[in-house]
Amino acid sequence: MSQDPKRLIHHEPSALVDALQAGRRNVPTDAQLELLAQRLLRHGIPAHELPRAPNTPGPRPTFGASPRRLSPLAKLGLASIGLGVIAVGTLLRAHGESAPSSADVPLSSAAPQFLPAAQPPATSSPALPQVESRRNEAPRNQAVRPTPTAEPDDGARPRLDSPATAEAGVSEPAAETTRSKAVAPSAALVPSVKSPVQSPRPHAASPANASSNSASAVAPGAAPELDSEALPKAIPPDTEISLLKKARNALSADPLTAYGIAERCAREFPNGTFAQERDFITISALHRLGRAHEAKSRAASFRSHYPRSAYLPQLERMLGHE
Amino acid sequence: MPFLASLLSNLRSRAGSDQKTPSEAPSLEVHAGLATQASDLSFAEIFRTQARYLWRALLGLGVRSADVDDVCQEVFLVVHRRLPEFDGRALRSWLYAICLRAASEYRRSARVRHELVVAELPEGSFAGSQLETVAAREAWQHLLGALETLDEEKRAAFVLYEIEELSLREVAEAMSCPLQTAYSRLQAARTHVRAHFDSRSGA
Repeated sequence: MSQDPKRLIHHEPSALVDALQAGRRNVPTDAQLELLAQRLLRHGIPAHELPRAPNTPGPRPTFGASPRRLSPLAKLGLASIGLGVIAVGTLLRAHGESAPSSADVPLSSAAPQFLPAAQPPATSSPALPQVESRRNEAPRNQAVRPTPTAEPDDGARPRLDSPATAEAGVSEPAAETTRSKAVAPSAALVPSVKSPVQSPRPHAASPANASSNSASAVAPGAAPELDSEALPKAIPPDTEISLLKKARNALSADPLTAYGIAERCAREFPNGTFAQERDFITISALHRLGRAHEAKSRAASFRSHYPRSAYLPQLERMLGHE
Repeated sequence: MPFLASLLSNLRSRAGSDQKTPSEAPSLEVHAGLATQASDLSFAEIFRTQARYLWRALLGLGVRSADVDDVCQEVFLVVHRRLPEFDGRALRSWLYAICLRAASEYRRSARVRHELVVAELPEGSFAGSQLETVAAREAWQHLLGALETLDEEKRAAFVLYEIEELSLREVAEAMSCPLQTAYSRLQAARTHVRAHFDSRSGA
């Protein structure tokens, strides 16, 4: 893995890097995943096989992040410690010594704290508000939904476990099966490299692929090195958004530059979509540059132009300290 | 009674999972560090830890945002059906291979091919605080434009490696191709995407 080529996102900042970062942030919300879970429930996935909703037994259902819970060994360890403390306290008492009262504290507090740990956790996530009710309906829904076990098993099973096979080209052609109905889960979606009766995978046999294979001079096994051609040092186009991003990034460290960029943006995009943002940056830059009078004058103009702007409270806070 | 049955089932599954020692338990804490030796992965764990990334991958593979929930649903139905047969190795490759299939099916479907799409709804005015969001969406749309002009295999290699952060070996496994082929596809895709961004910069 360490021999993999350097990923583009780790190259110099550029429009492409920005786009890749945007792509990586392109994940669904908890609400979207909750809806997806509900749909799976309606399509035959048993309720207990889906992430649990809050207030249901079991670990807290958090999408993306795994729940933190005590492992069985940790629980055992804690219980052992608690028992040890109990034993020591009892021993001390038996010997007539004035046992420290603190020894009794774990006796009364540790056990109750530990036992409920096996109970449903008190904390709950705001996600999955609807799952509980759906789960209760699950058996009823199962009467009308397709049963997964009733689906024909084509025997296809992905065998992708051996990189060596992949490198040596042993991987059999994947299944190009006929299209199935759009709603039903398609067996063709399952990657298969096993069945000899299936037709060859088109790309594996295509001349284009053959040429691409032969074109690569990298030995199998050794991770191929991408030519380390640097990303093009292209200057991103100066759109309104890009100018404002630059201005905002420069605001704290170099307000003069931020001011210049914002002014340029005002010249180049006089009717821009982000006029409020631009003016706010301009006023902030003036304020940081110590040009308070100018900043207040601009702020007054801003207030008259955008009397309901969301930036007004920030401006008031910023300039109110003058 | 159905509720009781569900509860009992939950308890059974919990009891089963609690019997594992920490070393045996599947390490599903981090997406990038998925252990692949787990033979008893639960569907819930896969959904909880992977749904976000499979959803994202589908978007990168050309599934429209309006349809991604449908396709993601199909992916998880297949995952659920095939999970008992899964040998527990190369989980991410296995999951992304299913995604590749689903996205490929989707892109080839008549509905998608013949549908005239208005990619984005016309935007109204933006509040200033949405600047970053708009910029990110614009950048993503531009990258999607570049990916749309790639063929399926190169696109998959690019998305899986550059966005999903799979290793090259995992990419090759997911695409059922030799490592060199995955590398070639990735390199060709990179060249193409760079050229696409260069042309925009030069415009």
